[in-house]
Amino acid sequence: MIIIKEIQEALGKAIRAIKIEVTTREQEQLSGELSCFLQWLEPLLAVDTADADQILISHGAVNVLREDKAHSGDLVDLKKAAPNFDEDFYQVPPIIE
Amino acid sequence: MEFRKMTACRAAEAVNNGETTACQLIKEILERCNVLNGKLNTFIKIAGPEALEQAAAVDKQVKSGQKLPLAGVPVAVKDDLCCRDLPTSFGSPAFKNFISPYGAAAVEKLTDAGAVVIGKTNLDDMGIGSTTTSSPAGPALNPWAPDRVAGSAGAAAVAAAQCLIFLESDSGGALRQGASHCGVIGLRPTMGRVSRYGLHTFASSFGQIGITASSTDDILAALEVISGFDARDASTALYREKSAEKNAAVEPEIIKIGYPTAIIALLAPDHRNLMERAREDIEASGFQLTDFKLDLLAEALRAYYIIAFAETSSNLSRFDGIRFGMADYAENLDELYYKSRRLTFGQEASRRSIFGTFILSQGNYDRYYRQALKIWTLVRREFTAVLDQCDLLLMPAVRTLPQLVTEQIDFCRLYEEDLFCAPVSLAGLPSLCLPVGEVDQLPVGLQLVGRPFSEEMLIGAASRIIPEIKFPPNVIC
Repeated sequence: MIIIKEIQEALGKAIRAIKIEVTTREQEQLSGELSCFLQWLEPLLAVDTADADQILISHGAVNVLREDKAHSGDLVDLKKAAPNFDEDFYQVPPIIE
Repeated sequence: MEFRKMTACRAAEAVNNGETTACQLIKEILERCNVLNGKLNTFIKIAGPEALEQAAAVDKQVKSGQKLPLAGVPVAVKDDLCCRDLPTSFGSPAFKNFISPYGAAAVEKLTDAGAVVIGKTNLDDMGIGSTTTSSPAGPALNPWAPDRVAGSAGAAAVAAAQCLIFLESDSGGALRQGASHCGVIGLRPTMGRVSRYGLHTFASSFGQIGITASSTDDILAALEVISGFDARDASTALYREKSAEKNAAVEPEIIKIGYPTAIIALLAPDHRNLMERAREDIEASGFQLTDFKLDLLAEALRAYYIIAFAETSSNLSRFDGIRFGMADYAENLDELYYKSRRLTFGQEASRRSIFGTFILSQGNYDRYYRQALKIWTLVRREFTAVLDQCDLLLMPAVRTLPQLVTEQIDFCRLYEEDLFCAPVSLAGLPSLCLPVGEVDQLPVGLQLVGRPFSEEMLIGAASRIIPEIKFPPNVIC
């Protein structure tokens, strides 16, 4: 059983890794929920899996090769999908200081 | 037009024969949709002008002599499937105005066959869940009891005759549970039978596109249209190889259906009684029944959630505010990620992403994720073994009646509702939910589960089992 302090620390690391903004209060709530979730998972840990390989591909492996050709799409459609558009460019927030 | 008594096959026949036109049919159903949507909240977007334009194109094709298998059939699409010229929100406010530059393969196949997309239906936050209670638009209501959730907005739309066919994703059981709660038929095909190109799925190993309708003929007609190989979804290559294998004819006397006596004990008394009555009816229809048991059902459910969480954390990480998702201005790149994901995800998507990252982190990967992958193997073995003894399996689809809209349910208890559906997804098997009776005057369905690519057998067997489909008495328009 993982103790509460360890859960809180591990949760903090996970939040920093996935980079989702949560408030202190939400993090406390998530910590309690994660503890419940891990308890809920306990029966799974007791299963003897010694003779089982892990599945790596969910539904059979058949390779499908596609034509190596770029499809640029229609500019009008591409503009519809963009959050913002400035003349011929996607507009995104500046990320280089 | 009396939509409550009309099937999709009959509607297509009427349009192809010139008894009515696609435009007339769509105009009438759009009126019905708009009126009922105020009561049921099933649609996020009703496609008025776009649907009428599609219908006019269908009428033109029919007039030129073409026979289209789904001519003029009104179809609703869950809002996690991309459609050309219609917004696709994925259940997130971040995508309120997003219009995809391409359509989902399954949707395009339906429209090529003459179907008309009349709207996009309500769904949970980022398509995660099977209640719609986390939808930014509020929950879709059950046409049988509007104080309860529908489970699936599209299943409610079929039950309320707002559409005749509904195309929906199903990972852990949303489609099947919704069909059960609303008294309609829902098919989750084998992974690989239908291209998932254009589907936003939080769990790539389990998300599949299925069909909901009010008749088995309609399910079959739609399945024939949307099945097939698609180079844009490698999983469909498996079906290309298997499609030459013919399904056995559905003669009840030669079909052995497994009955899960031990699983039935997990149900509440009313649901248990319903299952036992269904057993008697199925036996009376001539099918052979034999007991089967699954020892790893509870563990399969947990393995499903571990893998689904891990995949959610990976799949949703692309919503970073730059390539996808809502961009918010920030001082630096990290802050942009934090803020954008905050704006894009609701509570459940955030929880699953964070817990999924936890599961995949050092020290937890072997303990949880690797263990889940091994249990996945064991679950597949278990299902394969019972399907060596039986042609089909009968299983419950739901544990309880749909939750009350006002009810707050603990998230782990909510996951327990997937006890009978998620393990079938884990096993990668096709499953059809069919209505078999009522509990407290609300419909309840059961699942028929088959071997991979045995959808025709499932549909054929269901057609012999299903009593006459009832429609919710309160929804008259």
